[in-house]
Amino acid sequence: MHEYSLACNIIEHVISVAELNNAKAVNTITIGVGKLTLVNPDQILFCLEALTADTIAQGTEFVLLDIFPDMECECGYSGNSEHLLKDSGRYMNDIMAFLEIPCPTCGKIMHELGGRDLVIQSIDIEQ
Amino acid sequence: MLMHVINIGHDVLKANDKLAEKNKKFLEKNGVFAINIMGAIGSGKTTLIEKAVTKLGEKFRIAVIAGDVVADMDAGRIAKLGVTTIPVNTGRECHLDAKLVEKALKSIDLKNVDLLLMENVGNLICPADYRLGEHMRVVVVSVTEGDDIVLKHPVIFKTADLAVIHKKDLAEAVFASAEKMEHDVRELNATIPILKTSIHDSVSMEQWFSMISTSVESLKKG
Ligand SMILES: Nc1nc2c(ncn2[C@@H]2O[C@H](COP(=O)(O)OP(=O)(O)OP(=O)(O)O)[C@@H](O)[C@H]2O)c(=O)[nH]1
Ligand SMILES: [Mg+2]
Ligand SMILES: [Zn+2]
Ligand SMILES: [Zn+2]
Ligand SMILES: [Zn+2]
Repeated sequence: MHEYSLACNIIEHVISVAELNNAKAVNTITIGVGKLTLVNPDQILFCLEALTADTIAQGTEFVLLDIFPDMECECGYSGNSEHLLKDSGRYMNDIMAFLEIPCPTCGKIMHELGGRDLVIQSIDIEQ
Repeated sequence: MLMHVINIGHDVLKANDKLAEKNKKFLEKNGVFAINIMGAIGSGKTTLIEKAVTKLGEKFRIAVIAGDVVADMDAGRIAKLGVTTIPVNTGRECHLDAKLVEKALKSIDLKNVDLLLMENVGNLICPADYRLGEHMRVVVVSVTEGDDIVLKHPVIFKTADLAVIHKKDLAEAVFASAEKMEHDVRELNATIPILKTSIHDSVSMEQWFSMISTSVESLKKG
């Protein structure tokens, strides 16, 4: 359950930023999750909700956004995986799919730039 | 009441990476080469560490960090061999992280260490996401996990520096093919060195030792 410690890191950071800004409440927390990050969204959401109970972020809305990594090929081609996968019709929640995207110009398997993000993008607070 | 959106952009995984980078610098300052030994539960991580400590103990000054949900058992096995062994209990966590390692490093006399072996928690998933400050990432699977184990865990094989397919002596008994596993690793990672090992095959054990020695020496040379 490494989701639990990641959720702890997120909530600690959110609360400290919120307090620094004299927040009375936190309405929304927006988190970007890379498509290659090995976290289970349901599990992390469960932990986040449990950890915000009895804090100024109690009852906050969590927004989880997918981050699609950019892909790069030896031949110099680069593009975003979201488009490339849509074009290939592959199932986007399958990590393997991101590791097997062929280059549209030369056909070689491309490699990903990043995609292992777990980033607190923004919070929406009441002051 | 004032509503206010604050942009943060704090990546909690990159925060671990940063701390790992710090650990690595600290290790290098002390001339220590560190190996993160990841792998499936029961795949033979502690056994491979014991063998390496026994064989390479004359050549290098070795210390071991034994990470586990309950770490004392593996740590006890290794400490018997007379090397500094720090058990790191990860509690509810299924992996070592840079913070746990930072703390463990404080109780090791690094000036007198050449090689640090870190046994990660038996798990092929989240250790892949956490750098510790290591110079080399090893992933150990054994044939007894079934020969489709590699393809089920692509990320860890893509990000490792050495793959060990262990307990090949048992392959036939469990209807698994070490060659298929090797092939799967190769599909995922075109450049990674792959060893097929067993404690009953001394040639394969020598390959394991020499893989470690060469890597340690390459750091020493700079
Ligand atoms: N047949 C065979 N058994 C082995 C070999 N290497 C290790 N074992 C056995 O496999 C079992 C597990 O080995 P460990 O070294 O404890 O495995 P581990 O990966 O450290 O286990 P955890 O830390 O619990 O995840 C032990 O009973 C070992 O004796 C091998 O090459 N062949
Ligand atoms: Mg062990
Ligand atoms: Zn986990
Ligand atoms: Zn190309
Ligand atoms: Zn974990």
